[in-house]
Amino acid sequence: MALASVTAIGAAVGEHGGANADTAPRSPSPSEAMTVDRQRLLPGTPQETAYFEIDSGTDGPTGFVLGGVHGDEVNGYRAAEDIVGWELERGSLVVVPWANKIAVERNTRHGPDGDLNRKFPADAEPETDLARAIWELLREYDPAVVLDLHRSRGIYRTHNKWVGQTIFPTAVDSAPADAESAIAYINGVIPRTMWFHRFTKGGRLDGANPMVVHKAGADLDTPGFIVELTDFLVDLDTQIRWTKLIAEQLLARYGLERRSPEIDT
Amino acid sequence: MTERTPSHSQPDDISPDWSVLTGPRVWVVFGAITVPFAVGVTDTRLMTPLAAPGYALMSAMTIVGSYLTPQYTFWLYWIPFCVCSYVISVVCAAISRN
Ligand SMILES: [Zn+2]
Repeated sequence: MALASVTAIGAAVGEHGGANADTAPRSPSPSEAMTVDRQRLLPGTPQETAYFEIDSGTDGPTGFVLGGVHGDEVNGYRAAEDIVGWELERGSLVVVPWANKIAVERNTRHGPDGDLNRKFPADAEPETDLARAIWELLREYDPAVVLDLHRSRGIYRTHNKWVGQTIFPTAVDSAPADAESAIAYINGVIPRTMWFHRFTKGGRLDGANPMVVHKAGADLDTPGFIVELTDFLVDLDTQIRWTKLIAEQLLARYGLERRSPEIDT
Repeated sequence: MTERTPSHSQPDDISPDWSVLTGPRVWVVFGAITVPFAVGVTDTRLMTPLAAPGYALMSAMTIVGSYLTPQYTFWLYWIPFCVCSYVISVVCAAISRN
């Protein structure tokens, strides 16, 4: 099962063409120890994109990870591609690495329908086919936690109008405290010299904005997080590494521990 | 025959002393501000305390700039950053001579 899926994943990524090698979607390398099932959102349409269910085989919670909601935020979908390869102690993960596949292939923030992360009004239907498909998937799995991986040009409350180096939690249960815990961890990793790059906690996501994690918090009472990195003075490999370290910390708070955690150097 | 008065070389204070602007002291300071910082930007794991002056200068410039001229991408700040680092280097070099 797992092996068959690995082959299918290669085929899935082969469908993505045209983007340059630095930003094109890359084939995840799933662990043989996990059962990995590759599925498709909006099959047969131009916006068709793969998602992966990786199952430890041991009962436990389900986590939901989104990358590539904004197609030019490379750290998010590279981290998500790597997360498909993680081994969990228990439970399962559903990963949508290239949520806005057309935007990822174009390396642009927006897809054909504009900004995907403004199509999820609370207490109402999502506004596009892609947003509806993502939302239905989220509801189907009813995850214990949802992560949406992003980056911004500048740093929140430091540069005017940018939101980087921030974790925004939903206003649900322990999510704000979990964000603080992940922030304490990642700030221990960031070089001391990079004082402005220390992460902070953003305001609580309560449905006030039409974003997917806002809506998950408001409509489903799901703990969730928008993770925002920055590309200001941070190389892409480091952005990806920090994104994964934060994802690992947040997922672990919901019982989704990795068998061999990321080692930061 | 009148004896020719011995010619004097031009006094030092008439020709400009370009070493104030281009002397080795200037480039040592300039390198100290820019090089460790530029190295740290290529790989954050190399962002050592030596990079702190460059990091502080670039951060300060972009913070102010994000309010005054929010339309400019931060990559453009490398140009004024280098100019600013050079001016600081000249001042530091001049102070160190006196
Ligand atoms: Zn984004």
